[in-house]
Amino acid sequence: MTPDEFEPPLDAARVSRVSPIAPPAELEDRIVDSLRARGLLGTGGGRRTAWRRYAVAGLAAAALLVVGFVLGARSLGTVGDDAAPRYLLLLYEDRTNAAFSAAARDSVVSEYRRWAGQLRSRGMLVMGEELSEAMATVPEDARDPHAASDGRELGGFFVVRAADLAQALELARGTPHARGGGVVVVRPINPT
Amino acid sequence: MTADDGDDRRLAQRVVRRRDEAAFRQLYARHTPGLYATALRLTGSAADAADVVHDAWIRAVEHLGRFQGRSSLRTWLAGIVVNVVRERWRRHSREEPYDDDAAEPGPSHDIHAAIDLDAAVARLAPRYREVFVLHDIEGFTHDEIGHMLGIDAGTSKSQLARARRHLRRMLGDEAREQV
Repeated sequence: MTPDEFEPPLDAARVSRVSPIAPPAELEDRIVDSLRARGLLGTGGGRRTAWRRYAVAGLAAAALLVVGFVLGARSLGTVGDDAAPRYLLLLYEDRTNAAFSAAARDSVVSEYRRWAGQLRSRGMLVMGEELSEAMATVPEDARDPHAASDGRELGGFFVVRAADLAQALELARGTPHARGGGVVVVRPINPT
Repeated sequence: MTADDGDDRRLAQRVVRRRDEAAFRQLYARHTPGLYATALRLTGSAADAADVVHDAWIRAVEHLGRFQGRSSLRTWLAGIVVNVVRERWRRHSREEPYDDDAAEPGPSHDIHAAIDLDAAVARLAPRYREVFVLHDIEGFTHDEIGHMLGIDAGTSKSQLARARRHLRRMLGDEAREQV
């Protein structure tokens, strides 16, 4: 121990008088807003002003997606060629994306309707579903392998029939999801 | 690992895996008072401290997936605060050189014998201020401080001793607090 280390603490009473310091009340929401803007926080589970503001957008986005998926699933229930290869289209989205806001609702629903009509006429859709934001893993502490590093989440999927991967990619590019800024991952399904 | 550490890890996992705002707000409530106090005592400015804590939380959440739990989350977050403060000092090095002994208080500061401890701490050279705030006020150990600042625990002890000596000189306590 060097001589420097013998310096005793200051008077404990004096140090204890250092006043407790509370952070500014608005700092919490400021930080949450910044984290949201960077895609580091989702839209659910908050409180206060930010919660209310984003809850409206989140609910609108969820409702919009449900409408789109239901429209697609109902209208594309038939498959033209059972022998054609199947592809899984995984839809990743930033749920704060303005493309899915309430203001964009009409245009996005209309886009889904148009896209569904096209696939129905070609008999290419097997099924499609939206996924809930809720998630659990087994084992419990496992990391979600589908969590994208850029903050996007797996929001839904379609199973389509296409002649080959190139055609499946073309279908993916045509989804309202991809045009709205989402990411679509295409995976061939092995025949069983 | 303490119960608090376990809670921190569970909340952190929810933030990383689900971008869970409620979990983040719980982490914020648990740690921000301490982080803000540290930032305020290191910067000496409420506005700067708020900016530091803002930037530190952004950086922390960006890298939360890499938090291994080798230290407590409190220590890990405090280390990020110190790094953000250091970066600001470097950017404003003309106003307050970070690693410059010229910033240490000299004998002329003895005239401030009546100033309170907060004001005296604000006059310390940054490297002494860091160790004093983290050890004597926030209660981190020398090992934790060494980990945060990238120095040996022995260096932390040595800098703390010098910080205390400078503070005594500024506070006019040398005559009253005999070693």
